[in-house]
Amino acid sequence: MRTWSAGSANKSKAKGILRMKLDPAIRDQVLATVPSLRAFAISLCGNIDRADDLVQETLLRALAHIDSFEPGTNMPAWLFTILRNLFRSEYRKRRREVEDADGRYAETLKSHPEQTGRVEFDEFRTALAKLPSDQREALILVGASGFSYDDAAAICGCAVGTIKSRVNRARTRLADLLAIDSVDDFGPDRATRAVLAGGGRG
Amino acid sequence: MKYTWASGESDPMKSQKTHLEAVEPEMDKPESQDLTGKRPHRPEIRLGREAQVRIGELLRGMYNSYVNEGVPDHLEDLVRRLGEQE
Repeated sequence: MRTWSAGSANKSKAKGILRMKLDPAIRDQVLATVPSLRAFAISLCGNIDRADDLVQETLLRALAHIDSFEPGTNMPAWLFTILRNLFRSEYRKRRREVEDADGRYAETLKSHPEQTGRVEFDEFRTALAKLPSDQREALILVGASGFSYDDAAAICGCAVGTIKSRVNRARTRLADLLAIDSVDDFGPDRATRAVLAGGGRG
Repeated sequence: MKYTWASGESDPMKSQKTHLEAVEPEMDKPESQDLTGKRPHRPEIRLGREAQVRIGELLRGMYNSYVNEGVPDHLEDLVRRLGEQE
């Protein structure tokens, strides 16, 4: 994990940023968002150390460009957008790893001390890891982070309908992976759903 | 895509209420296009209310466990120190 004492490129960047004087109100908004921002990062990349790196890089980038943030607007959405874009950049570099072909995502989360013994949540995390990353981020933003569909679409840089579609596919796929059978009476059966849910990215 | 955040929007971090239950799958549009540029028809899948609620519970349970565990000191210190500079 990168820290302030580490000899990384972030060290000089951090020194420069720490010379800034940040409006306390802005600082408090950033501080209030960090726990959820970090939860989003962990949910996205499935590795706590990498998530903390991602949050640190997000904060450095945000603070370096704090002048572009308009006070009174949506600070959480602004920070989530930066983090999401950083993650996507990293994702392109490490696609194979992030897609979790070897189950690394699930394993790193299973080792988290807070979740030891919580079989159901472990199963959920394993299923979540199997979703395409764009479906995963849409589901987390709308279903856990509390953003509206409009906000989630803006964060992901896509249309609202695209977010709705991704959320719907994510839920359907999760229901199938977790064997949650509560489809409407006239809906497709489980085998059909599995095919449909896995049939396209979005 | 350029956008701005309206100042009147509520803070999404202040509430754990989510928008999952508001999804109307039948309104979803397929994203992919075939070679002719036309959007192919894809049957919509409708999850029942119980399944939607259960998935929402599991998702929020996972997420909230991360939120509630706190923030590493070095991340919090980074932001806190910014308001203390002369």
